[in-house]
Amino acid sequence: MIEAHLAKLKFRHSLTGAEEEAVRAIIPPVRRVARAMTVVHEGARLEASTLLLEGFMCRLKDLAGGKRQITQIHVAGDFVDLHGFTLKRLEHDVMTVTDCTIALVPHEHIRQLIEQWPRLGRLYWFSTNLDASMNREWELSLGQRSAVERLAALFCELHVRLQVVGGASESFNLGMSQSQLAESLGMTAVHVNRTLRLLRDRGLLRYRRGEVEILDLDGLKAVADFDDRYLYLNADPL
Amino acid sequence: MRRLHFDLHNGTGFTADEEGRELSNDDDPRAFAIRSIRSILSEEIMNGVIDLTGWIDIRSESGAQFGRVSFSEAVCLRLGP
Repeated sequence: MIEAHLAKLKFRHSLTGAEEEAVRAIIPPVRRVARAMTVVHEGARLEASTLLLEGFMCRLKDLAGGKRQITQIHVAGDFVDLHGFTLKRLEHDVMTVTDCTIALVPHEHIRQLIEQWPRLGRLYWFSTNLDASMNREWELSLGQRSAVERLAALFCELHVRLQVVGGASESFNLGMSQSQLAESLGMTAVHVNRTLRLLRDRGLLRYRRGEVEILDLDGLKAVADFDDRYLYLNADPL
Repeated sequence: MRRLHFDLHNGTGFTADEEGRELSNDDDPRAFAIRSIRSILSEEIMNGVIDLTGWIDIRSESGAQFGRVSFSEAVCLRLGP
């Protein structure tokens, strides 16, 4: 179950056998969480961070009046709220998009791990920096990309991130409704539907009830002007 | 909660809403349609186009028509004196 997380770590940095065992040792028994469940509530005191091992989760913020912004989508292998280790209370919620398998790693275990294994501390620091980089790309999309470019960029990014953790496929079940895509991309669901139709008409992508089918990855990248440097796939050694 | 479908007809063609949208009983479907139209128009205007010839048909899952909202209802267009 932890393989997706180890794959994410090892894709960018080598891990010694002892480091890998140290990471495995802090992971408590996994638990299943149904889709659309809030796992971390805004403002709640945190004593553990959520490691996503299967499925998709998201971070989100709500405004009065029912408006919602999904600020990040998480794939298997992500430490969804590792920033909660230092922040202790988050200014956003974390919820499951699909049925998920997670492990709630006690902050005390993380503290002991990074004290005993300083290099692992640097790798997890890298991980939160990578999250910040993805958030900057999200801002770029929301601020500067057109609707069709925004959608294309999102699917290109998810494809790469799934590839990193061994889930590479042109087809995957993201499980998001068009309304959730709209909340991710600053659009309305009807606008998302129209934009998905344009991508389908151009032979680039099909999306039906959460099922993603990438028909032309290169074409999709071209539409989004997608440049994966912000994902730091060729990271320097730490 | 109720699920309504918002089928779009505009300059890019017809987009059927197969998935539908969950709206609470307090939500006004016409207001939802108007927000959607404004979202689409706001992008089109960045390409220098204001096309108000489109409309959204609202229907229930069983196909019952809830009404039609035209693009021209979603904005107030002032063209000067």
